[in-house]
Amino acid sequence: MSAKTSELHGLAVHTEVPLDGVEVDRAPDWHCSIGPARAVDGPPPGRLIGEIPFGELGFWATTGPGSPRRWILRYGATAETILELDARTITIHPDPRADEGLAPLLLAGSGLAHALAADGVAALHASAVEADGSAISFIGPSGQGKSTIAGLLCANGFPAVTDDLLRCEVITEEKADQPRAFCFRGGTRMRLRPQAARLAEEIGMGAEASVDGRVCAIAAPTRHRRLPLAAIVVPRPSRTEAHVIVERLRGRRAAAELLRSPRLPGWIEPSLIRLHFELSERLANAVPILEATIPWGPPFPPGLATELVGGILSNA
Amino acid sequence: MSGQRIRLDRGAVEARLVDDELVIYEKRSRRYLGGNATAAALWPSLVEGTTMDGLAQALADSYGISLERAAADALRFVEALRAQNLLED
Repeated sequence: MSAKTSELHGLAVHTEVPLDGVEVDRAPDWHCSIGPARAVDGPPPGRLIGEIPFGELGFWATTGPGSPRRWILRYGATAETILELDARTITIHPDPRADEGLAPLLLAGSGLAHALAADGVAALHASAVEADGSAISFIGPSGQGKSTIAGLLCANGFPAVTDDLLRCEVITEEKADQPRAFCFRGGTRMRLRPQAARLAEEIGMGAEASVDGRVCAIAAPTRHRRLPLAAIVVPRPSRTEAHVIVERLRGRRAAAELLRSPRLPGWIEPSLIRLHFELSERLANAVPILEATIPWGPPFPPGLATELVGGILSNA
Repeated sequence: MSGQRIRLDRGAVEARLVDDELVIYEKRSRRYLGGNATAAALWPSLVEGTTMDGLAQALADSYGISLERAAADALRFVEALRAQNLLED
């Protein structure tokens, strides 16, 4: 397999690992490779900066030992990923007990989210689609329907912006009163849970099995690498409502939804927690944060995609 | 108590305004807290250091309410901060 340079989340990544990005002809920001397999058990040496306890399948992140510019990420019984921040390299060492197909998922999701964090960039746990030249993103914890609703919109002609990880930035342009938010194109295959996989069939999207037990719905990507962010939506799936209800959240309630949706939970290092705190505050002051009650399926009601996007854009 | 100096432990918290409400990051326990518009109105005085009388006056001035009611609201907020160990000793 030959290496190529693909762009996701604004990062050019040179790697032989197959990535769901757009091939680009520019100097890579990161070089990624697969290293020798090794058993991955327990936290790595060094100073703990992040942790998600889950027994043998827990996650740990450390700096060092010996160098704060080396981050070691351990996914128990799955892989160890080493980021050399000065050399700009990411090396994934798969655990022999894990499915070797997990490497692309680890790199595209957690790996690149850590690469962004190492550069001082926080990211949201979100999916997004393009509508009217801007992005609409869906946030929330796992299982709340982010990918499902983004997939539904993609199947109805809205180009995919990203799934799982959304890199945002908030900029106050010269002579502008209000800050503006933008987001970057990421991986555009929507990873659906098995119970939502029927959606791909129902709406006629191409799909393939994912090594983590999900189904990847193949969506047409946006042609923009960076888009204005029109709204951030918290989906509330409903089996009782017949129509979409959109409400704008304000103040601490809006901020709380963003604070609940980091792509990388489990930070211990205060400066890394602050990244997400600051991003959440800046986004809450720059972008409409909406709560959308959505009639849920499958089967999804006909016309739902149009009704939802219309409801979002009229409140944005 | 009304003349006693009250100040936030600035090393323990960071706060930002969103739509005139407060979002607070509490560093020791790595928690996020929220504060309403009253909390937001009192926050700058608490960062600088103030007294209960000063807080009550700030609130009365901001909202045009009686000093008595402002003192009661300010006391509730200060007690909540004290319970979270967010004030200097």
